[in-house]
Amino acid sequence: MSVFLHMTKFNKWIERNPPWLSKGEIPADPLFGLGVQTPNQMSAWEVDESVRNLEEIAAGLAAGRREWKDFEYLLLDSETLTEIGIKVKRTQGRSCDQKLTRLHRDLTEISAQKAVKLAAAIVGQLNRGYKKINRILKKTMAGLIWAGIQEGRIDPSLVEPKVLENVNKMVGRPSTSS
Amino acid sequence: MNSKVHNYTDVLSDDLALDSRPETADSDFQTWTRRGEHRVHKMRGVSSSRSSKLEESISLVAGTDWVFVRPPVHIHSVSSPASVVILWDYPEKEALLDEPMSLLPIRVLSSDTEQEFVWADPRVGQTAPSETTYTHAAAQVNMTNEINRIFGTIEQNNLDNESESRFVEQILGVVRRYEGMAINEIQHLIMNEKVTPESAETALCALGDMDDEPTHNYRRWLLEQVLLESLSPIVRDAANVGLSYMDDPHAIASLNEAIKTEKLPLLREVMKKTLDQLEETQKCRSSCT
Repeated sequence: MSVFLHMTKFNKWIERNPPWLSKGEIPADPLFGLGVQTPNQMSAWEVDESVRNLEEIAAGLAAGRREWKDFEYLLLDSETLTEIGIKVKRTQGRSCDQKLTRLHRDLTEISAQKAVKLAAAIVGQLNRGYKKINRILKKTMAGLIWAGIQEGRIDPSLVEPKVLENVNKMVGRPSTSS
Repeated sequence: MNSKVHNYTDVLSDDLALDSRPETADSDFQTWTRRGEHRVHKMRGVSSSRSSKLEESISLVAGTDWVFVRPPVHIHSVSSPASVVILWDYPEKEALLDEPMSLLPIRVLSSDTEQEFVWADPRVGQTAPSETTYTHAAAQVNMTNEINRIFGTIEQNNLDNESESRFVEQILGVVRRYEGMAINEIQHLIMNEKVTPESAETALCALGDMDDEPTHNYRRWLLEQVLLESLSPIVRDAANVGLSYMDDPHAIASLNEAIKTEKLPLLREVMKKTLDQLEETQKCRSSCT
């Protein structure tokens, strides 16, 4: 079974069982937490569930974002995707860690009904206590990006200037312009 | 929190439904309650023998209390913003009661050290040389209107990247200018759910991330209050994120309390992450000193 990392908005998944919910329903927020993009697909990255690989993927992505903020992600498993009928396609991704671009996948053929099923499946898994969602705090992420740069995995010339400035500040290094 | 400006006579008047008798008989240290909620403290000049009462008084102040003090005043260990009225030396007490005064918000210089406050005399337009800030009634009303307008604008439009940046810039600007007063107003709007959770989230994260030493304690206070008291999980999470951005170990106690009472498991989990980060920061700082 493969596992895929997909960026999400953490707070869309916090309150999954409001008191007004009818039996068998899920609230709408998780649906928006999926972040389905045009055309009917979601961007994801295959992870091997080892923490290090997951953190490397996260760091490579966070380094390239224009906003410097916490990194929030979902973990989706291939079994759930297959059951729902969502297809997984290998496509070239963009990451500041060039060695990881081959890990990019597009989750495709997502109808509205499949999106609801996927959101419901994730909600169910979260309710059963599975660790399917996480937030990497900015301060931790700064360390991961810095380590990536030091180890030569992350190309600093690809890192967003605002991110690089904040990483340098947080790890206590003088700011350098890229 | 009532952000309306009151003058000294208003506060003491029946209009605010104060209990008619002060709670304590000591004329130098009197406390009234207003509708059992806000407390109004009045203290005359503080000598060293009364300094413990001043500490006790200030420890009750939490942004909704007004403290009337006569300088010179030594304030110890204040960690919350306060609306403080500074009474300068009127020879006649009666003249003092007739004189309308604005509430003078005082910026806490330091919560760890004893500081002697220098006060301002708005009658003659003199300002204190350094550490106090004050505003006239009109300025306070302007500030309230400005903050309400800023939130109103963002809620009428979609929170896209450009409008969000502008919103953040405006909120931070008004906090820099009005400091504790602005924080009090923002706290009032958020805790009374007069703004949407999304705009509260954006404001709280930005305030946690803000690099501004004069308002640091005010902002931490706001984030801690919201973390502990907001009814909205999204807003509590935003306060949690704000505290992680601020990275101030003084918030550890509030986080511990919030974790004990938080019912939503995911939110509790991320609060623990913030707590771990702050405890790590505290450890690093101890080993560096």
